[in-house]
Amino acid sequence: MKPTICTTTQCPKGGGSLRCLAVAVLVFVALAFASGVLAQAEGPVDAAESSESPEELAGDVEPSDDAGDDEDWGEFDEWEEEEGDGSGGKAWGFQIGGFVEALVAPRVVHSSASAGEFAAAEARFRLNLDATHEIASARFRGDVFADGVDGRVWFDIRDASIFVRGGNWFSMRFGRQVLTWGTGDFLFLNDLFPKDFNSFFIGRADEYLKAPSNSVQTTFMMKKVGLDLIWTPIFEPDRFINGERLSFFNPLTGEIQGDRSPLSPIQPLFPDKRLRNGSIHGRLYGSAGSVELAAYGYAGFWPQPLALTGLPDPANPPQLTYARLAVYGASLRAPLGGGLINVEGAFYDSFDDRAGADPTTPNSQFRGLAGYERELFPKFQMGLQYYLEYTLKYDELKSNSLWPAYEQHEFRHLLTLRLTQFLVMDNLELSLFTFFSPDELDTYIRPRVTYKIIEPLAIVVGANLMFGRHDYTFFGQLKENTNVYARLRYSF
Amino acid sequence: MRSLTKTSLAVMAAAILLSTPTAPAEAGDLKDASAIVSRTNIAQYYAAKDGRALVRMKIVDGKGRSQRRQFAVLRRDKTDGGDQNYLVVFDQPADVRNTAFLVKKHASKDDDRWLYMPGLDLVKRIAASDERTSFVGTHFFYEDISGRQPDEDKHQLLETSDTEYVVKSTPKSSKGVEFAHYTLRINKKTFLPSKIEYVNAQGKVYRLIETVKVDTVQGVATITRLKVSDLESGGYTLSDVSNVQYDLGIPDDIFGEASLRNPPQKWLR
Repeated sequence: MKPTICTTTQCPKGGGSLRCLAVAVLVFVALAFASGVLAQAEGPVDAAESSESPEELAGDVEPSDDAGDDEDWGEFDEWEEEEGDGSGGKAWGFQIGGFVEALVAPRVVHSSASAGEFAAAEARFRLNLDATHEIASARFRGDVFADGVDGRVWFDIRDASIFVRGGNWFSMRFGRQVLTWGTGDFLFLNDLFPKDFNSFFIGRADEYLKAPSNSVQTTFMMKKVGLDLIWTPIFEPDRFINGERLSFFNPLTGEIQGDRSPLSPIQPLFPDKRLRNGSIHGRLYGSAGSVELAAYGYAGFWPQPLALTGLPDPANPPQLTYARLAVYGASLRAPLGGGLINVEGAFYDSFDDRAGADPTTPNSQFRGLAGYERELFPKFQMGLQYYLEYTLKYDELKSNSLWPAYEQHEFRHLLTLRLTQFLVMDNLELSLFTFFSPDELDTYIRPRVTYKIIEPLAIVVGANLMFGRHDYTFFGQLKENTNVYARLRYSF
Repeated sequence: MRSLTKTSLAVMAAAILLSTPTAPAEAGDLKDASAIVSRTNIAQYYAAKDGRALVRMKIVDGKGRSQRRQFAVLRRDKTDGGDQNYLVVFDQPADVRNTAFLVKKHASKDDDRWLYMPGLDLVKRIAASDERTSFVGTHFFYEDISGRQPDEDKHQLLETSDTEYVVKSTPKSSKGVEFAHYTLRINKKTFLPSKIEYVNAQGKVYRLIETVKVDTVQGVATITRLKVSDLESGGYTLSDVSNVQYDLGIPDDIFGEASLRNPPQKWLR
């Protein structure tokens, strides 16, 4: 199959990201060049006096005879010092890094909906570039990966942004970036930034659960209080499960839909690319002693296509689309009994259907979370969370729904458990994360073993196990995607 | 990144950064072991008012395989022997580059700790953890790096030579400690330890921390090379500190979430 170059969000017209990449590289080269010029103009910067007259005191201490042989210590002299040039950040610093990674994730249960035997089979190259200065920095994080599941080569720029600092009270980052906030562990209430649920269920590294967006982030710091305002001019939805790689339950057809279905992939209708269709995220945060408090606000769209463009009509089939949404919430995080407690709440105001009777628009919800984590034994951590989704105007929803049998319960409960054990000088990590819903009777289990074989090389082996009594529940609909995976990464 | 996530990290830095103003010549030898250990705690972990350093570690396991860690540290003390703040930004190994830790160390309660994971842009608060477990995969324990509270042990002065005090420290509670006692050799002028030997219940020395190099930085005696050895496995970790600078005037408000996401180059470099 001939490889095509695509961006992850817009495969058919994939030139955009290439242009972005070219621009990012140009910016980086220009910064590198500028730094050379600046450094010359300023002349050599005096390194801080780091060691005056060592003989004065060195003799007073009796170095132990066997404390490392000379060869060992000599290595430090050759070790490049990437940080600590003594410039106080006035000279540009540059870093390059990344990794090469292979991932294979065969499906392990029979699926009538999906033809592919693999949930993932890919080879990935990541390039990280950083240019940093006291008052500004530029950052690039880009992936190229050959995807054996769809036979394509993808470009995915995760970060191409510029950061500017204005004193101690103001900073700004603009460009493509990954954004996160909130207190949940794999549960997001007030974090409406885009997620990539495909990556989450196929064994990619945790960081790929977060998808990038093209945004402007401004931060104001006032003594003990911080304010973040983030504007995403063009709405960036989740990379949701659309049937192409992973199957899901389609309530329109009442069946699990995978890549065998002519309806896959689902192509929702996006909001027009107008400024009024952008999204705004805000967070005000501070702390009282060891207690952290935050308030959040969001105005934009539901991040997943949960709305329909019209009522079903055989002649004019409806399309999935994004309903407008505002979210208001708050969180608290504090130490308690040797561990940490977190509580978070969010009100999802689906303001185009506050009455709850419109079956084409999702109803408003209250979402709540309470969690506790602590170290039970040395290097053994446990985290527990309880999460609730309460759907408002539930009677109106049920009586008007196009598929009342498939609607989630008025109260959807979810419990999570995280167990993590570090062994062998932290080189071996055993991890288990489990979601379980006692009312939907479905579960998602993520066991994982990570082993750092030798410094730059790490292997990860794990599984994504989904079970459910019903086909239409949150995790139950994913059960035919159950897979095991192995991932090998070489970092540089 | 995983290996760092649980880190308590308060850590780091300190030991490392640390040092002590060169004390004026003592009128005579100190007799009180607790007073000596208190002075050592301040000398080692509370040098000057604030400081910065670049720390590089080489970890060698019992089979001779080695790994590296490299990070920059900023420290600011609130009170000598009391609360202090740390910001630690990792540069090596490559898979944890730009991972950052913020530690608000408290003398009288558990430290507050945060970890920044750059891939997710996630600021994660970390629960208190066992102080005597590996610090970021090295042979150092968190406690070696951030300091052990002097009042957790009973101290006994065993010997006073021309150059050193030798103090035996026995834990008041055996909960959470793997040693029966440890012996500190403390330089009489600098109050920096030159050697610490940890002894197990069988009376055997199984763990050793040795000062390999002390430099004077801005008039402050500073340990710049340390070696910790695990005598049971044969593994060891070397720690080298460079680019040390004290009393930079680091403002307290840089020890916040914003500095985890965007480390303050002005102070780190």
